[in-house]
Amino acid sequence: MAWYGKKSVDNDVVLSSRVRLARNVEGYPFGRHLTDDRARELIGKIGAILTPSGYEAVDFTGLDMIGATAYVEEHIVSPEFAGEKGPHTLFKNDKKNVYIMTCEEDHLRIQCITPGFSLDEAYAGAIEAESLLDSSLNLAFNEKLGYLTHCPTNLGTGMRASVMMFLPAITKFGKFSSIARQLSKIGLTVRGSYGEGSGSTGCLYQISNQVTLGVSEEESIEKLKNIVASIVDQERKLRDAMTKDDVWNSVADASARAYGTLTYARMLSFSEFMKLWCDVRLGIALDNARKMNGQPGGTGIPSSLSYETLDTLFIESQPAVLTLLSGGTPMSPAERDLRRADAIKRRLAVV
Amino acid sequence: MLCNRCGKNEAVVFYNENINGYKKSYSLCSDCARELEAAGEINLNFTSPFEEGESLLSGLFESMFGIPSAPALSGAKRTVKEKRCPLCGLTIREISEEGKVGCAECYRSFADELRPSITRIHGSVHHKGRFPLRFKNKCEKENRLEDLRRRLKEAIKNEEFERAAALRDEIRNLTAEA
Ligand SMILES: [Zn+2]
Ligand SMILES: [Zn+2]
Repeated sequence: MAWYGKKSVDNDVVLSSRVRLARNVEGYPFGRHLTDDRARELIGKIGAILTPSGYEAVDFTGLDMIGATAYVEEHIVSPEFAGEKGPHTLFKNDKKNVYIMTCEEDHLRIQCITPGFSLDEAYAGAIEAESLLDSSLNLAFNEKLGYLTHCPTNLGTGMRASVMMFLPAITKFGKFSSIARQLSKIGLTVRGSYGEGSGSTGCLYQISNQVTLGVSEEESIEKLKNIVASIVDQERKLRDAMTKDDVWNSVADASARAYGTLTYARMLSFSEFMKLWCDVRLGIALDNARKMNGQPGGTGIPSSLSYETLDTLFIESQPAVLTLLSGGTPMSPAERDLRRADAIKRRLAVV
Repeated sequence: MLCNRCGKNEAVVFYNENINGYKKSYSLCSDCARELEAAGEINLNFTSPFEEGESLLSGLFESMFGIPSAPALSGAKRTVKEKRCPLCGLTIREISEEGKVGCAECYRSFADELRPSITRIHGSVHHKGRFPLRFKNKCEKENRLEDLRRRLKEAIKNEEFERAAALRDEIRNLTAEA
């Protein structure tokens, strides 16, 4: 089991936490300046350290497009890594929370992905993997600039800490753009993912630190944690407001309809699915809020439907993962839409 | 291949020079290369093979990092001796065009040229945080010194001269043990 589908802290608002460390090895050029032969030599060196410690190597040069894209959809590798032409290998640990990309933009991109709001855990996991590599490799570093990276924007700690947040209430109340502006002023980056710009309501956002030089890892993470906690608070307050009489019926109606469509549709595109997914996930949160506040009645979504199940559906409904789960034979978009609706229907039937 | 000067580190600089029939040839680690360059024994400023077209191209490469193209740096001479990174061979012009360095060595070779853009990106050029194991002594000492200097400033400001004297001695001792 990967980062999704697990019970976790604050997962009504935060889907996952991630810490990524960019590292390079002395003596090897970066990016396109690294020849294929030297890249293979470097990957060999890295593999010799990681394999005895229980890491499994996935050679991406031998992977087909569907296989590589599935890793992107699971948020395990970057699209750049999946599309890389030269030798590049992914190493994953047996606990399935540490993923190390080799020969992406930097020689090493060490990431730890954990469910829910768990940045400390993600940081500890990334550091453990990094220490293992540091004990046998000459990691490129200097006292002034810190870890030396291909792009100067990653100098210093080389760390990008991020959380994936589910913010449907903040979005629906039109508060997101002002939050995004404040975040950019204090050196945090926000990216909308899924549905953003497509006219439908986006509900997932990735928030991460921008500055890596002159700020320690702990300081960066502490700052991000504080900001994320306050956004979690705002989102919950606005959800509470949605349970109040004047808006409740229309919000509950949207969630109930979304659940109905997910359970009965015969064909579902991924973008339609995502819109419904947002409304259903919000419905679960609102039902919980009403229960907490002692308000009667709910959306009608079964209380046994959990965030974990929904989040697994979100990953498994994406085109490449869906294709792999259906046996791996490439399908037309229409075939996929049928298959997607069918898989969702079956999954929801056993809730 | 090991550095043929210290015999300890991996060689990253391969230097050949032929001046009036007097040949020098080295395979060096980056530390030794820097030492030899500082001593004037070797010259890592290679001559650009693109001298002729240079002045035509200049100005096109005011990059995203705002690093002036090489001719501007050297006073817009028609022929330019362009410095190249000893490991990956890039010039500062190529680095600023791409927005990315070619290897870790570039940050040492072009430290002065890159500093302004790094400051612009991060607002700082002083790393704070983790370091590799092999930098443990160096970095811990540096952190300790920084802390002592800060406390010394504070002590002087508060006119605690006895404490200031003790701190100053501690800084002296720490700097002396090289
Ligand atoms: Zn040497
Ligand atoms: Zn270089």
